[in-house]
Amino acid sequence: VSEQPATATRPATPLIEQTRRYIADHRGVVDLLSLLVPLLLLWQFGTRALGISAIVLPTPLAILESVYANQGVLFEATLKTSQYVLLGFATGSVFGLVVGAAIAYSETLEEFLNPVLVVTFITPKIVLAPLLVLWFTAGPLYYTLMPFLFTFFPMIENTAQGVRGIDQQMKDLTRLFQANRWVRFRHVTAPHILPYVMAGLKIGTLQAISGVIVAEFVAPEQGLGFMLILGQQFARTELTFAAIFLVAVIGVGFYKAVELTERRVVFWETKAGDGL
Amino acid sequence: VSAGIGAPERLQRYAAAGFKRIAAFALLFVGWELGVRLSGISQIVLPAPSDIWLSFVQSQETILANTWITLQEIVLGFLAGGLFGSLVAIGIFYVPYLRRSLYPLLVGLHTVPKIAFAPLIVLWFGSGIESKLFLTLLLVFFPVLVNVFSGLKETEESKVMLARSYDVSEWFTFWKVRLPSALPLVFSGLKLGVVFASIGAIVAEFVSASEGVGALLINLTQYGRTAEAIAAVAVVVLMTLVLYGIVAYVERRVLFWRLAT
Repeated sequence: VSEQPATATRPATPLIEQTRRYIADHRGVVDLLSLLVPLLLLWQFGTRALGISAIVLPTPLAILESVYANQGVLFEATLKTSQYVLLGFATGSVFGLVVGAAIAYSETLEEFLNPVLVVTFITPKIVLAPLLVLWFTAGPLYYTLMPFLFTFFPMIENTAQGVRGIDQQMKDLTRLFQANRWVRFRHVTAPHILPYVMAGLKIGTLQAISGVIVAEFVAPEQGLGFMLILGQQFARTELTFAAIFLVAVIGVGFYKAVELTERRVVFWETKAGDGL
Repeated sequence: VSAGIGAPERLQRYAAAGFKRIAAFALLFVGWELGVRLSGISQIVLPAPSDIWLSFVQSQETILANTWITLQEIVLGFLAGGLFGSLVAIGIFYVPYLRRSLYPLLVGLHTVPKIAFAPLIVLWFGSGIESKLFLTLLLVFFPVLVNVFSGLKETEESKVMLARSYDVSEWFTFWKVRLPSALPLVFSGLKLGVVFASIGAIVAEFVSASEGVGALLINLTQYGRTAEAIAAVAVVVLMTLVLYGIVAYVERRVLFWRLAT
């Protein structure tokens, strides 16, 4: 009888030990949650106690409720915005790829385009938005042009860098083997520039989203940018938060999609987590 | 000290490239001017360079006064964002708990296009300069934070060990070892930051403002005053190039030992 408590506590010790080991192994997740959960709880339950009104800071649940209540409008806006992100991103990448390759192969072209590239990198391309509205009116062309501009220029830069960096020895080797154009492209050029192109695409996704959102700020007629402005003008803060949340979802979605493609396409590059 | 053997040739090549560039741009402007004049295209659609220059001279005061306001927003927001980003990065670097909890949270936030916060910030801070400053600060904060943190983290451990072997304080190690080796990355963060700062100020002005070059552009284009709008865009381009040039100049002075590359 006196043995019982001992046998009862014995299985408990490994359990505690296991938990402790689990926490030690997942220190990062545990620490992250230890900050995130209290913050969310404070946001949910503390704002009213602190006298912060719902117009200034709606609670997380109120924001989710707003997403649910306005799902039709928000879904349509998300669709519109992502459609133009995709359109501008795709066209901008393709054009950027072509121009970038052309720059890398032609020295005269590089000489003339380089200052343009430097200026477009440094100066905010968004200042063009009002002029583009004036020229093309707030239609599909305008909403595509903005993300196009934001993807086009980083893509040129990255592609040109990739092509320029091709190893001369590799080029000599293909010449030695009298490889044809296709073999040269497939086995030397493509593998070398792909990592640069994928990096350009990753920068491009986030830029393209900013491009569409700013386009929608300047001509607020559609999409999540319009929802954001609407929320601000009518002081419907929970709607603004809901739209920000959806912008974040689109952003992470596009970024992860490109990242997954990158891992598939340039599987030989093992750059673990490059920050952004 | 050494002038370099190839200096005259290099200078010649630079001069030749510069001349070609100037010629190309001159050709572009002449073609633009002639094209507009000959095709009889409306001034509202595409004004000729001479029209743009004339309307700049005419509305100089409005354009420059509004640009001055935007410039103040950019500079103040850049300084605040840079300082704040650096301090948080240092805090995260030295406190392991923050490195595991706050850092991934901030990196996650970094993937959200910060521009989307503009209307919310206007809602919070109103249409005055405060909202522009805050959005600019937010946009500068993240690239500076990420770059300062990676700069500190990537300090060569052997250098830190050397400092430690002399039994110096952590303060000394920070100033004499970690910070100097982090500086190249810090400056790339600052250069990104100065680019983002102008985006922040102008987008905030697009969303809601009565003054500043962003508000001016919206106004001008709504009334079809294209020539003045293009002049204002040109002023913004010049301003941002100068701002970037200043940061790049400071970088070259501070990182004089990297001049070799």
